[in-house]
Amino acid sequence: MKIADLHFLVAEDHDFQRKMLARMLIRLGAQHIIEAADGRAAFEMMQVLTQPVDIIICDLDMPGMDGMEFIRLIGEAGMPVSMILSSAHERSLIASVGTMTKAYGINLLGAIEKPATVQKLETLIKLHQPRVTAKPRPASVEFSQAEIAAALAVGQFEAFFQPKVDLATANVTGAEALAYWRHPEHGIVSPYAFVPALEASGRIDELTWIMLEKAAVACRDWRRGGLDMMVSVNLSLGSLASVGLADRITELVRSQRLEPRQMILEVTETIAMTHLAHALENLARLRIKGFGLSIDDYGTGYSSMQHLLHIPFTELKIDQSFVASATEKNSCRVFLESSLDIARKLGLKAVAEGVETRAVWDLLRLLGCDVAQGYFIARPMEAAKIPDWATEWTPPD
Amino acid sequence: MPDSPDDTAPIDRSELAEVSGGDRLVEQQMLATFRRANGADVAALRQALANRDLAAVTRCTHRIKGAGRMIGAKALTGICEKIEQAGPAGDWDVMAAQGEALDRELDRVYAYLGTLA
Repeated sequence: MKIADLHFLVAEDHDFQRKMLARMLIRLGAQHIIEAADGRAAFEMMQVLTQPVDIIICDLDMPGMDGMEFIRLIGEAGMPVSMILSSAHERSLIASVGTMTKAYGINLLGAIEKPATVQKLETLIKLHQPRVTAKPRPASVEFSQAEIAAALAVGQFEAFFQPKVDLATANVTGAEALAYWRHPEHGIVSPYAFVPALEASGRIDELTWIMLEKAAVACRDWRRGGLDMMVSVNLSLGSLASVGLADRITELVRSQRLEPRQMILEVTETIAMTHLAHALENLARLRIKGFGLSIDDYGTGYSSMQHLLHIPFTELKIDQSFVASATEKNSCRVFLESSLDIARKLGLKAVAEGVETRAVWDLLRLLGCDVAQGYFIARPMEAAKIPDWATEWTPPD
Repeated sequence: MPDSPDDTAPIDRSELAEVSGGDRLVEQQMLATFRRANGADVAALRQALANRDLAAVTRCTHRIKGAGRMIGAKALTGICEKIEQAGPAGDWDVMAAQGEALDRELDRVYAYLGTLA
């Protein structure tokens, strides 16, 4: 679409800055420009315009209605606009409003750190793609407790495995078992759709034990086929609270002729802290028996540092939200670097989850992270597909 | 009007030239808008400094900085940043001193803008 055909709205309270932005748009060939001095004026104009606005250039800090509230109203109204943020505030603040904008389903073209220039504007405007309607939120299927219980009873839950690879050598070190529901009507259903319901009904442990068993069987098969791999399984809150846990897992692993050190048990900070005494007893015993212990979703819980010191973890899994954005957001990169530093100083193996791009892979190698997991390497797959995948896997050159 | 970049000039006109496309009339209109908007902000800043109203100081300084950056007034925006940095500590001596520095720098900026008219 030509710039001359696009409709622009400039929301900026400062007369001079707003006029400069409008002049820049004119220089780029824009012919339809509306100006507003605050969010309220901008939003009211948008409701009476006969031609819908294509691109909004929005200041954050405006008297009256500020940019954040304006963006929320647009998001809630589902208006199919593209947004360019413009601010002289610090980069981390602009980035956080950018995340907020995207969370409202608005097409964010990017942010301009003031001063805006003709070139900065042109670069972002070129990213605009006309859209018919705002992106609908993904429809989620709600499952009843009874449906989930029935699925447990007939064995519709399956383990898929996502490979983990060593960043320095590119060797496949293991795979994480993830629970999927092979639903007769909905196909493969991801854990987000049923784990909360299972937790609420107190039946999550049943799934945990199914996963532990399937993971042990899978790992045995891989190792028999000559793959030197470990398997990781997520422990649930209930399982960690029961004192017989360590013996029962050990028995299960031995029954498949595996060594405990070939299995890593992943625990989130929140779960570890909920029944602290029982959790510590279980984790200490598991560690003594030789299991690997991983702190999962690191960075999303509370007072992370304290837990690391109290619990005998062997591995630190940095949450995907920090990893995936580490090449774009400085705050995420800072968190990633400091997590790697903590892991190194505490002698923990550092695993980055959510590695989705080459850029993130390269950054992790540069920063000396040990292990990577994510779509850039492989999606979760059935256990039987792992050997072929491992043979074919080649690291990026 | 200086044709070549001059390090001692209080503003870098390249962005303004880019926006105006070299049209002197447009440029003069833009500068008039700058003086008007900035004049109001500076008056409000003086008031806020006199009243020791930190929120207002921060807001006015932020506006002057934003506009100043658009015309490439580097020394001016540097002074704004010093005021912004002194704000959280409540260092009113620094803010008052920088407020005076801002007035002096503005004289230079306006004098320079006068040569363009």
